[in-house]
Amino acid sequence: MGAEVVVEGLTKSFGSQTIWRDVTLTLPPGEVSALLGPSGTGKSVFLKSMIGLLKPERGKCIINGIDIVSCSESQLYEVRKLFGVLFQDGALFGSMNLFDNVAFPLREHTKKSETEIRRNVLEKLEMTGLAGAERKLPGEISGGMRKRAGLARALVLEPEIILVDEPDSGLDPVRTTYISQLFLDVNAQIDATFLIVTHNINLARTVPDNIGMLFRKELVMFGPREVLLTSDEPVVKQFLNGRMDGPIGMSEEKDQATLAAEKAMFEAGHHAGGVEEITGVPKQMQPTPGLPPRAGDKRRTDRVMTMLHQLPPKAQQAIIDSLTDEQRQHYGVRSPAVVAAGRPTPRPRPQQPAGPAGDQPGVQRGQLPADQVARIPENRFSPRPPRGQGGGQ
Amino acid sequence: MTSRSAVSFPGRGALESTGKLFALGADVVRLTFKRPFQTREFIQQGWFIAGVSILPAMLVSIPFGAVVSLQLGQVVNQLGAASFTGAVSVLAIIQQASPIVCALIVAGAAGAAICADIGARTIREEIDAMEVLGVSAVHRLVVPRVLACTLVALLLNGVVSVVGVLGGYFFNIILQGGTPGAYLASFSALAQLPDLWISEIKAALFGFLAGVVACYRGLNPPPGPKGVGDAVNQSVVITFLLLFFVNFILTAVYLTVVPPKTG
Repeated sequence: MGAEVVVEGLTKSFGSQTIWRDVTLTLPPGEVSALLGPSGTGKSVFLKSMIGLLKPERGKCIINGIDIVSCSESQLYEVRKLFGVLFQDGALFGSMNLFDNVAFPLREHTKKSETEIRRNVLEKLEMTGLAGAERKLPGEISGGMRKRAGLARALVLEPEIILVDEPDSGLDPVRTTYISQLFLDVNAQIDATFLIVTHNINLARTVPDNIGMLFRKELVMFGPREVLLTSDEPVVKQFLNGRMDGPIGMSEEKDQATLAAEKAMFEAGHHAGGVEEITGVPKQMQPTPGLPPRAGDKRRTDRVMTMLHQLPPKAQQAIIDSLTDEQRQHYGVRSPAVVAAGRPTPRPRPQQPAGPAGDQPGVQRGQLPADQVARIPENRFSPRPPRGQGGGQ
Repeated sequence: MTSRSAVSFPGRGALESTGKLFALGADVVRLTFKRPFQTREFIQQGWFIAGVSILPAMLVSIPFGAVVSLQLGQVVNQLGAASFTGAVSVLAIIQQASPIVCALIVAGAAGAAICADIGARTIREEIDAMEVLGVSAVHRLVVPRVLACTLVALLLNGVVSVVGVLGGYFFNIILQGGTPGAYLASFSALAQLPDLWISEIKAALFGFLAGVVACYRGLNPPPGPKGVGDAVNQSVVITFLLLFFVNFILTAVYLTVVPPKTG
């Protein structure tokens, strides 16, 4: 199982300029999370802070019981071995061919024989559709291939956490979808925790389990995908629709005067951009048939169901809609039609005999063994989580 | 952690850079002894640095030796000590000229190349990628380069000394009509063995400095591709400044510690 990443009160500034402050979130183990946000809100900086390339001023980032922000250099190098990172341009080593690039982590960190390395590397290149290109130099291939080679290199050590910086930049929509499919397939195979930083709306709507958004130097929200996708928050709506009409401006944010002037302009008939109203929660992409089901998906459903009553009503509705009949029975929630008609309050109580327990946080209604059930994030914000918890396989 | 961003005063940036430069130097020394040593990278870099610096160093040292010899020859002749020309030129070349020439060439030719190489890797996020893969860039890239610079400067010093002295000899004998016997005989009149040691120590230290400065600027370039160019420029200038300053200190210490040869 992938490692859990707990970020608490993280604040980063360059000189007097704050990039973001008090970011608190938990990347649930084995789940795919996405971080959205307008350009320049420090998404990449956040990624780099998570792996200790940049030192945040305050806060913690705990992985397997080790705080990245304050740990020693040798600990940092150890923790980094859990990570696979895909940089925007792939960040391949320009002087090595693809094979050597992908083999690099294996040669540095393992005592594998050259034949084993070869098998391993070719397998990963095959997986990313690069079979036959292993003798090429990074300068000789297209941006999309570089990106896939970067992914192959990130995967070769079988990481527990995979961080992806803008997988779609420089890729056409089709390849973006293929690479998203690849993420989900990898997730199904090795159950790694994913964090994808992106501003591709299609990807954000169909791939991740959890979505967060950075805006105005803060984390606006982070939670199950349904929460953000059904949100009425103006920033979120504007971002999902890609319109000019809203609080996000060309530079970071707009003041009242600009907002009013623009409003008048749009009312007068100026096109605010965007194509159609994006609403609702589309079906999530699934691993390619034939692969094992995603363990993270199962854990996520359990986790989300325990916190269902804390979510906004629209998100609850969307979550219940997305369940199969069996799952609804299992978790003791009613079919969407009944909920929609009969009960607008945000507390769908179990009506079925299958789910007798109450819906307080932490109380499980399902029949899963206790260690299979993800806990609600709030419950584990102890100042010092026990070492190794939520981590190793 | 929180107090870090508090005080701001003029020259803070310069102090910070100096501190970081020293920290990198210390890291290089520390990580030199960390296994596994990057032998392959070390040999490749050493070969490369030797390749780009031997010829320019020799070409610079011939006129250098000639100038020293011509200038001194004239003055010494006026004083009526023509037989000491060899002694003085050997001393000047071995102790001062040779290590400086080595360092200038190593910094200018090899240091610039190293700085550009590492700078380009930095802005292409290759260094970040390496760090993220759990490989220390200082251990993997900087240590072999700095050690290669040191070793090559040390060895180059010998070459430059010999070529410089030969150049001085040639010009003194051919152009100034000096006597070969007197020139050669006076070699050891003033020079002594510690002069050679200090020369080698200087060369090694200058090579080390050139390597560390080049790598430091390469790892911390100003933003953008132009930043790499600026970094290369700065690395050479900083090395030169440091070089002459360190040379001054070392010479002063040497002259105090080692008594001049008499008789």
